Amino acid sequence: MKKQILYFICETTFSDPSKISDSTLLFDEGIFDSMGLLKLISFLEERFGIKVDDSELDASNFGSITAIASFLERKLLL
Amino acid sequence: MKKRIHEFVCKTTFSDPNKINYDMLLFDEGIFDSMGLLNLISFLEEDFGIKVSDSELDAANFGSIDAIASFLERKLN
Amino acid sequence: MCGIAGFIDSEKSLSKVEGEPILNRMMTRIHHRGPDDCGLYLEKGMGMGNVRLSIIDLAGGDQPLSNEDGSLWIVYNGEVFNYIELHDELIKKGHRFKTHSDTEVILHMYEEYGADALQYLNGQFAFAIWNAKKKECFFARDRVGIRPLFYSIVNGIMVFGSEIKSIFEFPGIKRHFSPEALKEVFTFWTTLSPNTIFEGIYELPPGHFALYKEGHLTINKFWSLRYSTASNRFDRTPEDALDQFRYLLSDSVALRLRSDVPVAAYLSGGLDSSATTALIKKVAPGFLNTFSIGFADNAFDETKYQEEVSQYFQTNHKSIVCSSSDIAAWFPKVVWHSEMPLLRTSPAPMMGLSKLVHQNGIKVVITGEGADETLAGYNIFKETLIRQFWARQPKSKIRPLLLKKLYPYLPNINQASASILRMFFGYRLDATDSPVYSHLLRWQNTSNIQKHFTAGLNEHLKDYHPIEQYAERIRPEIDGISSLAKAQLIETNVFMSGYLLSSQGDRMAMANSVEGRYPFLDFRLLEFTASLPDEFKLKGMNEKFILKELMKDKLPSSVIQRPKQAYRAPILDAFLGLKVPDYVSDMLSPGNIKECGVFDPVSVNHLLSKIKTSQIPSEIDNMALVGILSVQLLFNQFVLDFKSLDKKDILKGKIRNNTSDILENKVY
Repeated sequence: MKKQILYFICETTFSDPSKISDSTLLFDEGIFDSMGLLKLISFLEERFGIKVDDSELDASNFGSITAIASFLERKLLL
Repeated sequence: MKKRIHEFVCKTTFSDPNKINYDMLLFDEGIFDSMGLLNLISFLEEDFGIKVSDSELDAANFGSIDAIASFLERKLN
Repeated sequence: MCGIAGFIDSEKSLSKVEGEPILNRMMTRIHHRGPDDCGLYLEKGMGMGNVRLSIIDLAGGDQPLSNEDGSLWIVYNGEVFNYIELHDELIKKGHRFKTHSDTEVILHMYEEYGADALQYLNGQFAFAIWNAKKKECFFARDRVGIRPLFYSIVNGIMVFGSEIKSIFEFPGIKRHFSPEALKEVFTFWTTLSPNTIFEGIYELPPGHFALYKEGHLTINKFWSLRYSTASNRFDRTPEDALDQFRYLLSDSVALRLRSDVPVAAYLSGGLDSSATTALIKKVAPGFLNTFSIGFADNAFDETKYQEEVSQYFQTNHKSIVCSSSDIAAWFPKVVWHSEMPLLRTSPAPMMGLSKLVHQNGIKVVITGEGADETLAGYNIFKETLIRQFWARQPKSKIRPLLLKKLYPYLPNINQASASILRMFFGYRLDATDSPVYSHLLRWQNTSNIQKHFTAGLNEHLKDYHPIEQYAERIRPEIDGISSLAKAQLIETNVFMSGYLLSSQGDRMAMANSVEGRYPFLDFRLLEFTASLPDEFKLKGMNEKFILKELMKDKLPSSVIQRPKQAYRAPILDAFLGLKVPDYVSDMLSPGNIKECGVFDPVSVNHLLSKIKTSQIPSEIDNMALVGILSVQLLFNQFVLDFKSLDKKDILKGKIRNNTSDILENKVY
């Protein structure tokens, strides 16, 4: 799952996969801007069939690849 | 307390102290805009040491100097 | 207005015969700053020169200029607007003048008061005074750095000049980028004084003077802006403040109209330049030329407002329309003149504007820079107050929503929830104790461009933390001042002096031999506005409040009420659209990028792909593109090669320190 997320992020932001680790802070380091975030959410909703609520949009769920993967796992378990 | 609040309001909005009554609706009458509210709350938090939460941000507590003073009193007790 | 340059060799190894051609080439490099005359001072081991843009005392004020006995000589770039009053005082003290110029007044002020003279000078200046008896050179630069002065000390020789390109003309000066300076530019939008982008080339910081004697340079500060603390704040009524503000701004404009050639005005359509124009009209009713830029791209255009103000004041208005292809075509010349990497294309239209002014035979324009910094006009000021307010209740869902008010034109922000705002605007939200809190977000965002540096460069820079260093540097200055004042101090010192007045101001105007004058930067006005309580500047959401109050019935209301339009120029179309000039692909080619060694070609390629496929590229990516392109241009123009001057262009300056001239010694 983390690999899929990493792959998607690098593809849409034209980033070098070797420069993004699981713990890289995606927003502080400017990997994502607001458009990128929206694309990521669409990707997660479509690819994994989950729904992301406004209230779930924060750094603890989306700040890094590790965070996104955890968030995704929890959603899929529901 | 009401005097201090009144003084703050008049000074930062360049209003004539005689024209601002304690029961005047500060937002409806355009004395304050949103940044003005920010300045007011900052003033209360700094000068009186209180904390204002989201649920307390409404006209009932901040609409007029009377309202602000009552709110402040409740917080300090 | 002018350009100056020179060299001081304490070992006296350079003879007059050797020094003259070098000096002439140095002056030729900055000929655009002074097309009217070129004068030199030469002795064994020392030479300095001036290229003159004649504005005051057209017949008499040629430089270099000496005092009565020839012991002191000055080369001077600038205008000291209160020169008439200073002249009268000096006459009473027994000084004798041979010209009517402000240049000579400066020289005699120095003769009378030494470095203390600087406290009395009201204006914009950079000058060098050579003491031929003591063999020492005094340098000074105005309080906020309106006029430039660069120097380098190599092998015991001090070389100085109004622009770095004149220093590069001196033999033996190396031309390399400084890695630390690169990191600074891609953090602060400019290098931090005294650094320039080039290793070993420095600037005399604004508000400082220096003495070069026997191979040593000592630098001292003569002025810094002190914002008020609770104990010394302006405490009279708003009406008193308004009266004082009116008096100072009007006097500032009046002083800046002193000239022996016509003075015109820039009209951007915004409040500041409309205000300066209104005051010009009040002080000097009658014919006034005004100039402005329009953009072919509607998103940036302000023509409607410019025309409204011009009609309101019945000015003789001229404007140019600037398109994306203009910006692309002008950009290499813009970079050549700015001598600094650029993150925005905003300087380019300013150069088009000064060209229009020059074509119309005008040498001097009055313009509105400085008001946004001194009267809290920029969004960053409101943003920092909101962040600070939010930081007290970081989990609040309501507090961050205030940010939406700042950016009504950004759709993504307006639809955003508090959580999203937290992710993009919440960077180090709780760092409210930092001296540079107001600028943390902007500088962090800009620093992200450094990911495009080569791995080697980033490795080299990993222990250099310019933000922290700068924060410690200003810590003593910010004691007891308000959060708003802190933000203003940083914005004035870093953004205004380091970028706005230089790259976008002096360099762009001087490229076409035009002198800009800035009423809002009169030092009395700077000191006055710094003494005011916050609410006189930022009243709630209402920025530049005291200026709006002053102009209430003196300008069309549409100008007072319109929301602040940030002055921006197009980027994407210029460099990535159709019909882009060849140099763009050359500069951004992997080969050129690799040769320059600052950026990683693979990373740059990714950036270009990302921008090209994006509907709305982010602001930072836009800045990265302009930044990379300008670094490549600088590399090619200055580092890789520094094209020799064409023999036919080289000036032959008149040597003004021939003994016969001194003996002649005319006085009035």
